[in-house]
Amino acid sequence: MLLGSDIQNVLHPAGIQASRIGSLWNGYMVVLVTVYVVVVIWMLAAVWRAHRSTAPQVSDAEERPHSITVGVASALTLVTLIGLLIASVATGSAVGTYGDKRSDALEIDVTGHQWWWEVQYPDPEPDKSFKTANEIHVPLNTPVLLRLATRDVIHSLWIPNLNGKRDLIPGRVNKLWIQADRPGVFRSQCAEFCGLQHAHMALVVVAESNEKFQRWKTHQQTAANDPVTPQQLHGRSVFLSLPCVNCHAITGTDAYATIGPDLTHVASRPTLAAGELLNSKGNLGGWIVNAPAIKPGTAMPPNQVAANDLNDLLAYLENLK
Amino acid sequence: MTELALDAATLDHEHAQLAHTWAHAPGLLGWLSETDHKKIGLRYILTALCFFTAAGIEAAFMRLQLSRPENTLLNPDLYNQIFTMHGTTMMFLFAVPVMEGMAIYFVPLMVGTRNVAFPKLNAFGYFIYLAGGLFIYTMFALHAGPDAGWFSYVPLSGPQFDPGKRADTWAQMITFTEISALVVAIEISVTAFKQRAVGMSLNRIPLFVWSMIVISFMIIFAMPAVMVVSSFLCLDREVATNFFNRPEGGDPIYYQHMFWFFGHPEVYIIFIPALGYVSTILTTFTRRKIFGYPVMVASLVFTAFMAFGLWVHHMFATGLPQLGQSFFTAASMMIAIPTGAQIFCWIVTIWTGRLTIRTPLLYVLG
Amino acid sequence: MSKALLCALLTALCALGCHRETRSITVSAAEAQRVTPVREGTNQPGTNLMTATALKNPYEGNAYAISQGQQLFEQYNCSGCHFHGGGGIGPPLMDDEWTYGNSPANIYESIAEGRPNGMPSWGGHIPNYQIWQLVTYVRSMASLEPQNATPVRAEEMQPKKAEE
Repeated sequence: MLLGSDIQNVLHPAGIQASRIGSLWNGYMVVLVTVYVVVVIWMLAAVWRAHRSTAPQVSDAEERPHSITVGVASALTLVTLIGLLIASVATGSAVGTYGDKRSDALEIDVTGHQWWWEVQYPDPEPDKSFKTANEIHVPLNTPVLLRLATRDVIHSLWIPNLNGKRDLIPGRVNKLWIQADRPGVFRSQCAEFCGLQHAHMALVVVAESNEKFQRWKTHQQTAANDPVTPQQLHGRSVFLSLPCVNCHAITGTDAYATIGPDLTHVASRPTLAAGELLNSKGNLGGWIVNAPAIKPGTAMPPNQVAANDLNDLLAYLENLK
Repeated sequence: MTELALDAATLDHEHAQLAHTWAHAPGLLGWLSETDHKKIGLRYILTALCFFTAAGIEAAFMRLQLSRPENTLLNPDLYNQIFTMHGTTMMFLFAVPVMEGMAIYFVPLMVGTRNVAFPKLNAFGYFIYLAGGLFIYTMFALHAGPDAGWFSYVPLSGPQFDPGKRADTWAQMITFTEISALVVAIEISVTAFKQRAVGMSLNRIPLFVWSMIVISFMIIFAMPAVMVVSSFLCLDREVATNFFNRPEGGDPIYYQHMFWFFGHPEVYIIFIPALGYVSTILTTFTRRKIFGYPVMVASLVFTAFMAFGLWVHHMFATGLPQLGQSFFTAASMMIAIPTGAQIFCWIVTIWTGRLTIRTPLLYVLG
Repeated sequence: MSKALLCALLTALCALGCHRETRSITVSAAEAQRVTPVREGTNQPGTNLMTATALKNPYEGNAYAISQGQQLFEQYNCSGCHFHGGGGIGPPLMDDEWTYGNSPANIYESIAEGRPNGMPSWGGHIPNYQIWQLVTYVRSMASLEPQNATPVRAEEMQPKKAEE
């Protein structure tokens, strides 16, 4: 699911912003390669000519035509640049203000942490607003405004298939418009060096049909699944008695801390620890028992849990679809 | 006769005195008190090459670590230090000093003077550069090498997120090397303006000297910015000032502006001497004087001016206003015009010259 | 002779510098243990306390531990009562008055076992190494840790709209 050439690729745009940037890139490529080839051919011709030349030193008067050549070439450079500049500025302003006038835009708050992404879908009704981590779900063909902030140092959100980079800067709220035009799972990666685990700070953007998105959203708005089996029931009490509750929240229980990712629907996410691990029972167990061994420097402490307690805890967490 | 003999004796005496004045003092003391520009220039170049080697070794470690996923050759802490050391070494201890070394060696020879202006200051500049380099490598060996990237953005390098003395090491080294760069810049510009041989007017000096004059001026305007910002970083870290702390009125973006106001001209401080080399090599191997000398000089000066007007293109992802971004995009593109003009002039120089194809020229063509 | 001296000096320097600069980014099983102190009543810390003498702070003078402690101090809401060390509901931590002593072991016990009249017991709720990080940070607030390992201030974040 997380593999494939399309997953994090600036050359396969999946949205209007990225396609505009992509066409700009292609346009630049064509123009610049042409200029490069022309100049190199000109230079090689000069070398070829001069290599065989036995002509005496040229006088200043004879150099006059060459001055005109240089002048014309420089003027052509200027014209090319102005053309490229207009294209670039037009793209920039189109991408930057894309959805400002759209009323159907979806707004999402993204907060950077060392080293994971907190994603909140705000709602005018507070109990309908919910949080998830390291994944953004967006409906197709809808402009989405990401409001970017950070809890600690500077991070940078870069979803190559959808748009350019935008930094998350302390004390600021930056904005980034994205719009996905084809379904897919697009990987994103922190693009501003942010400390020990900068390399393991990934995010996935899931672009899906509006119908699927609404279903996902409605489900995320609900409280966590209640434990069903006795094992899961015991798992919940293990969760509530362990240090987990110091940092994590599960709606519908007494755990409501906001330091670590919200675990209300943890089992529905594709990855753990910001793309570090695929979300499987084994990985989750390893992560709980010794997270710093997997991701040195992480704020998640190792936990000493008896084997059967761990098993029950995992059964409970796996049920939090 | 007696008068003449006396004269000869005086001459001998004067000669001996002169020889004594200009002679190299022996021993370690002599080595330390050396002020000859060729020796100092060579020392700069050799020291820079040593740091270059060190940076290369660091790069090799980085590549080894990255050669397979989830490699455990280096832990994240050490890796961060190594890549920061690599970047810092390349930018501050190799690229600029090696260009300064070339300037110190060649500029006096090319303008026809015995030494650079302020030779003792020149020696001081070298030693302070060496001190900066040795300082940061000693701290690296003591496990206190900087680890916030060669740009050391706040708040990652600030008091809360970079505990210990690591970012202070970085900021201190900046002060060392930038003092050295400023010293060299002043010497080279004074040498080129005040100590040219008789009859060598400014429109006759080699383009190499022009390129060195231009970078000297760039250093004088750019380096203070990074010295100031690294000092602010030190103050934030040591005495709890709030230059980069938003709630108290500071701003992390302010750091980036100051840093790149130095950082972008730095790129041209490294690039412009290379233009000087190309012009010098081309005129030699095409056996003619450079075509369009005034255009070449104007291009160098224009590049230098433009270089100070486009630092923001390093900060396009920070969410600055659209209008500002467009301005800096335009400025970044316009720098292609002087560069283009120079390339065209070189091509014409080749076109009308009589080529001797030797290794240096092949490098230039490549 | 001088060479040996130099070597000794360098080693000493390294030992000093290295301890301050070491970052314990992985945690051993022993450090990760949670120590549940004996609790006699339901609300009060008991009398059968852990012995302070056996406790040694592994992070004394370590810059990374102080900085981690600084973050934990906010995250675990120590500031809720101690207000960034200035005190309010709980006693101030940056002065030189210590009701229960200022040695690392004393502070460890205050955090792990709690103290009457409001200080909750954290033993059993957070791993040992985090208690030690908090101890080191608390001591640094009162200048009991080396100054060269102590951050001079924290970064406070206040979101503000970006310039447009």
